[in-house]
Amino acid sequence: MRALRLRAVVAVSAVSVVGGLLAGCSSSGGDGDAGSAGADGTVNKVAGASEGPSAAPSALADGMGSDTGTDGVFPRTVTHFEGETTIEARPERIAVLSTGQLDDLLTLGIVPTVGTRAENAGLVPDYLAKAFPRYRKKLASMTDAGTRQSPNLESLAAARPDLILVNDSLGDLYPQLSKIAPTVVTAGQGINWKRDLLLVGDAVGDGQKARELLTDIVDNAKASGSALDGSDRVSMLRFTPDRTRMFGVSSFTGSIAVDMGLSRPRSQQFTAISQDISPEKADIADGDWIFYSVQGDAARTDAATVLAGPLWKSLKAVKAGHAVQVDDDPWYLNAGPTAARLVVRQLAEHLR
Amino acid sequence: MRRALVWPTAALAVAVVAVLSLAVGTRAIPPAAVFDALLHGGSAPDALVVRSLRLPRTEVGLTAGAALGLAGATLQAVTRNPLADPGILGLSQGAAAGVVLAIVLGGSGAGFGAYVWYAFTGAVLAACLVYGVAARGRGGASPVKLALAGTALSAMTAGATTVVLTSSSATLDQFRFWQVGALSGRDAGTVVRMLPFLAAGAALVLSCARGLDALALGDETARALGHRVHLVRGCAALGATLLTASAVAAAGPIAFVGLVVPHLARRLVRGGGYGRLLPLSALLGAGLLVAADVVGRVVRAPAEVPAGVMTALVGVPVLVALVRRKGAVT
Repeated sequence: MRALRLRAVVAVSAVSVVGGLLAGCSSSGGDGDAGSAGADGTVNKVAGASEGPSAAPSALADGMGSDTGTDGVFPRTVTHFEGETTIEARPERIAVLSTGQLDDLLTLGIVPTVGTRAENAGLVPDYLAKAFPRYRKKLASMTDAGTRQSPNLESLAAARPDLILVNDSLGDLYPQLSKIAPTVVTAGQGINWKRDLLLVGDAVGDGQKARELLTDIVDNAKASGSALDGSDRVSMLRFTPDRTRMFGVSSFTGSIAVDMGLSRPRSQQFTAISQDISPEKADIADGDWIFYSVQGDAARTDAATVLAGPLWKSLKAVKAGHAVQVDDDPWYLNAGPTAARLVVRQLAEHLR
Repeated sequence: MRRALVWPTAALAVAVVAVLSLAVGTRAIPPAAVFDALLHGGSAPDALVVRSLRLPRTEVGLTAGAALGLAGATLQAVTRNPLADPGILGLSQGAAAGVVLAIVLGGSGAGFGAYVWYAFTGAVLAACLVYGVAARGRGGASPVKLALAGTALSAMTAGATTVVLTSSSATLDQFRFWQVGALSGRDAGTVVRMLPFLAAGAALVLSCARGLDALALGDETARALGHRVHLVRGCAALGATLLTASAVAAAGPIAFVGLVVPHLARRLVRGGGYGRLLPLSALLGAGLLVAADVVGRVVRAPAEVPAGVMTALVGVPVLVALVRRKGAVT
């Protein structure tokens, strides 16, 4: 039969074409907020570590920080993730290029003059605008230096900053950035929010203040957590337009759950940032409570079909009315002290 | 293949593919559980996945595939061009531009209901423009001129669409999700809303089948046989536009189904006329799109390759095989 032979030819050539495609694109990226699509089950690891930490590191990395422990003393030399940088005087025009750094500065009482946007987000996340109404005017006049993934160096240079803060995901830009202004590189990634806050504090001459701030937040998290029944398993889930991720122990929100002493579902007790799950497997993210966020408009992306589907509605937490939609920005995008306070407060409110 | 065997074989192939589409996915579900879910429903997670995720996606695949197969066969007849398909004539890009407009203007959410009228308007405008450009000058709307005008308009529309998309990242996210031509994440109501469009388009196209047979002999002969050439063309083109728009609105711009399927069908019912060719194209289109979707779930498991990508990968070898056989494309 001729048709049969035709089918065989087709099958063989289709397989060979597909094989070629696979060889070309089998490398899967995925480092937290980089936005590269992950496959179902893909574990997104903390950069440079096969195993992420089981709690947010609460001290600076070895040898890093400034050469003076006293706040407000300049010039100071700051050792950071790309080398040493000397800052001559208290910076007045700071540029923040990476996630969490705006939160760090505002919480320390400093308004930067240049910022960048996350995809689909404004220059100043809503939760920060709400937390710092007193800086509204100054925040509104910040220079927009493009996106976090590829900042616009021309507008950055034109704003003439006297200190640039950036995290290691843009480490390749360090030589160019340090020609524009003294640059300090933080670790980035949510799990490092504490040491990043300390390093930012050291860079702007507020290291002592940052340490006090951190102690206060952690003490508060512990106190809020110990007032709760710690046996409720807390599931953390994030929907972006083409991915659904469960957040593990080595993530920002995951580390806050650790600080508060909360339990997590077995599927989320891994020491990495997150793991991708397909809509068909949404039920492995079940727990006693689900704190989920949706990036962008929930009604217009994949999240809508998952959230409206019977599988989601069959989850124990959803049936009990324990599925809480939370603000994507402080929970899963920007890791900083004000975001941490907000997450602690919301967790405590709901789990009470 | 014996003519009597063509229909049962094709129907069986589509049925097998549909069953695979219900049984294969990132979640491993034993076949017994799949059948149980289909027959008895139930509220176990496996049953919910089969009924709420795999069933709608299979239905949308069958419907959109049938629409694209029909539209492709019709357009090849209308333009007397074996390379014609909704993509080459600018219909898909026109519909896609319509969807982008729908996303930008906001409106009532996402999905088929929000997109279909925009997609239809975009496709109709594209069709009119392509025909209008091609019909000018000497010789009227010849196949070559239609293809050239369609390609040019496609490129222009794609450019304009990209300008809108790159300047608005929120639009881009939503569009990216729709544009890859994925069948997943379509809700259960989609196929119900598609059916009227499919039915109307299919009725229009099938009612022109005899006229399309005559057109194949040339306009003069068709006229001599008593067919109103312009009416046949217009009617069939409108039907094809309706079919393309509904498929694009539901599943994104999916290439190659409309191009490959009519050639495959033509080989199977050689000399059978459009009365047979059109329904067979619908059947094969449904099978090919769902098959592409199933393959897309398997090749990079547990990740999924969208059906729109897989149709090109599966469709090209089919086309090559057909072209290599003498007389396939005439």
